Amino acid sequence: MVRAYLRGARAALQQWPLVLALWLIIGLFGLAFALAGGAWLSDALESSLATRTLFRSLDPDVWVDLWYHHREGLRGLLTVAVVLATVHSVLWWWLHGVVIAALQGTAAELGSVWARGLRLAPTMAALFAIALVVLALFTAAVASAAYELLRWTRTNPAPMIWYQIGAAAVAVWVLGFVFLVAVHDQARLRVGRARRGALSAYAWALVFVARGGERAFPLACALQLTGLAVWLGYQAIALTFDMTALLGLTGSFVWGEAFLLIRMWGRVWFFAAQNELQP
Amino acid sequence: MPASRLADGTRTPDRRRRARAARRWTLAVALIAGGLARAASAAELAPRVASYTIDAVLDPDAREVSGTAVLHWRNPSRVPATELFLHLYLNAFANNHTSLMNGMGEDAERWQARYPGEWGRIDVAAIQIGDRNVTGDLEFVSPDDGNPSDRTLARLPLAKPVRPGDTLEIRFAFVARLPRVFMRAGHAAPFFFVAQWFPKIAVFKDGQWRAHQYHAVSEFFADFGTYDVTLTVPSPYVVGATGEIRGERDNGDGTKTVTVHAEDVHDFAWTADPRFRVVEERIGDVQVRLLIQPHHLSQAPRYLGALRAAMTRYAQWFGPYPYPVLTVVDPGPGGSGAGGMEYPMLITVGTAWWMPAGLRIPEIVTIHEFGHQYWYGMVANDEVNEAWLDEGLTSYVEGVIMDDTYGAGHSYVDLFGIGVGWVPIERFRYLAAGEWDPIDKPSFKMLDSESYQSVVYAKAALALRTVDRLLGDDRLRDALREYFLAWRFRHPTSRDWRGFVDDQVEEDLAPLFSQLFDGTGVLDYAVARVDVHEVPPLQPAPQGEVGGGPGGEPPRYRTEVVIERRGEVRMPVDILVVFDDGSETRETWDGIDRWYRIDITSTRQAAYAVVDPDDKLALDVNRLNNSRMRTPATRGIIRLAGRWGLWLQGALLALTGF
Repeated sequence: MVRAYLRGARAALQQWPLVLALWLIIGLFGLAFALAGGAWLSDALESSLATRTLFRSLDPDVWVDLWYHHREGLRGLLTVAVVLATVHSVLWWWLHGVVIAALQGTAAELGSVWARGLRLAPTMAALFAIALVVLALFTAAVASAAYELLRWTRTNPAPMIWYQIGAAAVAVWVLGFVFLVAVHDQARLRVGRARRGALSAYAWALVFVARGGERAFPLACALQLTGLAVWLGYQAIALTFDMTALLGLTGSFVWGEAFLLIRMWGRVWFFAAQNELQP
Repeated sequence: MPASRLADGTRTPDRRRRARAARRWTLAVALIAGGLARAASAAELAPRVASYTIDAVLDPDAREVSGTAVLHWRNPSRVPATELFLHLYLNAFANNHTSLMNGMGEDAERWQARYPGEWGRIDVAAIQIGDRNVTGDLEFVSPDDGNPSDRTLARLPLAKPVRPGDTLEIRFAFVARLPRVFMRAGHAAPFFFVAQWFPKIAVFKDGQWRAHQYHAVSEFFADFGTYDVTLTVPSPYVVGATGEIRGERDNGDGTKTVTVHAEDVHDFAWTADPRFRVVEERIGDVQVRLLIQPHHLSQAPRYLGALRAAMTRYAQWFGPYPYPVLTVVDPGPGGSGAGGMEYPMLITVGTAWWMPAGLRIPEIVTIHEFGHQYWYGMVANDEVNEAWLDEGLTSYVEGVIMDDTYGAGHSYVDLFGIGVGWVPIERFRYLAAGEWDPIDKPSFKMLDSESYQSVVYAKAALALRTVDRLLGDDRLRDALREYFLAWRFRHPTSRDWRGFVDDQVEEDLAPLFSQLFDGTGVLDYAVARVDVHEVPPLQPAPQGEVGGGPGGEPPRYRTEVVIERRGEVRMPVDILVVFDDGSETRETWDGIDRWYRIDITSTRQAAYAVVDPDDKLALDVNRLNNSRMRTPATRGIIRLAGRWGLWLQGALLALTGF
């Protein structure tokens, strides 16, 4: 597991042009949303002093007025976000194929992995649908169990019992989520490696991870914890930027994009590490 | 400020003077009469009209309180009373068609689904007047909505009228079945909050019964009296109640009996829970008794700190809290429906174990509920018909105290560098549904609970803050002090309040109050235009002078600022114009016309204009349009839009993780 973890990191580093390209793609989505947000704010704030004061102070009164007097525009902005997220998810059916093609060496040149990824896209889409259904079922099961427990203890006088049930439900869901993510990733890798159909690959991955094959689940946990640690590190530094100064604001944007680049590399690393386990 | 500038009033100065003089005479007579009455019994703070002696037993397993009550009711009116009206509030929880349940809508349906069969009600087993059993004479009435399923108000015809000043003794035997608490009274066993639990006589004022059913958005109105109550509960239970606990006796059978006495109060509520921890502290002359849940014990200093802030300021600003004790109740798990409520000498608060220090919900609730001790508890207006007079005043003073204690910019929320003060929170509540009903309207006739909350709490408080800032120099607060001292224990009306404050500040505020309290119009002033044009040199140039231009006089600019009144409410507004060299000019507009223009010609160019630059008009519904720059800035927009772009990228990247 440790070897896969380390070799995955190295393999992801070797894929730096791909990582850079993926980061640029996601950056375009961010830019599109920033432009939409800027347009809405410009329209809503018109020429008010808030266009200047919001730089230094997030005056709550401004937000109250934006909420009540410009809600239509806000809804439009949320619609833009949903559309971007949908397009992005669809796009990643292809990009996941690209990443796997690159890691599994089925296409030597960066240029050709895009085409290979495109061929894998329909299977990735089917896998995504299967994984989504399984996640929804799992979430519903955990929520139902928690709800029933809450109902059962509704008149229980113990002061902390509802919090304990909630915390237990969240813990179970998080563990299950990590497990299902590992299954989904292994299934994607399997599709690339063994040319399997989506359902067959998902079933294989489910059994593979559940049986503890090559310690796939512990590796997934280790990778997710690494991601959490990186996020905490990012936040610790991000909090030191003075957002009311131009330099601080610029630094914060640069640091934010750097973090996104690291996360993108991490995403490739996750795949590369798990790829090491595939038989 | 002159009255004529406040609004376009219609009263003439002579009529105003006469009205003011008449009010002053009325007040003087009332004060003398009140003073004489009080001198007769120095210990009495209030006219004791309805006094109860109650003996009650709590059966926790049956969720029932059974008891007997002896009511001594004095007819305070100048006409004989031929009937009595009794509130049987707990019947609001007796079925799903009561007026309260109808008004609660989906909340009531959710409650029924969660706790099937957990109804509440009060059964009056016997009523006796003298030797006569009059139980059968009790007749349920629904004067507000004619709802036959609502049994929260009953009429009791009297065989013999009660003459003015005479006292009638009525004996009751009753059983109060407590609902699962979701609105003020009930249980989340073993937490019991017993309120509105005994047959409560309505108010007979000026020869009329002021009696209404129990609605989803109305509270209470009652006369003052003394309460002598014995409460028998299982021994492990800790009891808190309106009044002073005078004794506690172990009955030797696993129960104990607590004796409570309260004077000059108009209601009696109590609580019992074996888990309560008791934290006591003396604040001034008042013994404060905090009954707190064990898992909230670490937050006792927060409650007590807020209470100290409130008690100190109320005493300083308005007058003394005259009662010897105050009980603060932290509801048990599942009992939050009982939280955030006021009763004489007892308030309920609420928190959660995870409540961060920067989220000041326990403090807000504590300060708000303590404030009710003055306006609801002592002034004691009719909360059904004029709820704002209690809730509005309480919310307004709550805001002043919160801002004064914790800092105006972050008095409500101070988390992760984000501060939120009182005004934006109240504006948020007001704008939610503040245009449907006027402030001064019976609450049960309002559109819904959202409108009630927006208008009676938030709009009324913001209106008072606006009046406060317009008058300046704490003149409103001083007037409220006089109002409190003059009208406590006297059930004033909204009209009394308006006239009294008008007199105190020596302004004709009537037209302003009429706009704020009787109408649904909004207050909205906006800067519509800030235009700057270079003034061309005079053409043709006067004889003997060379025309202006490069090398001559510096260019001159005409600045035109147009302010619009976009709402119906009119009041004077300040206007600030700031020039590009940092200099500024101020004007005040009476705010009556639809628009107002400022024309300035000078060598300076205006950079921006602001209407209400000192944020006096808290009631302004749109503050975004209160300022306008000649050229909009982009820095604020870039900061936010850039951040949103980053957040979206982060979220999308997280999505790829699945």
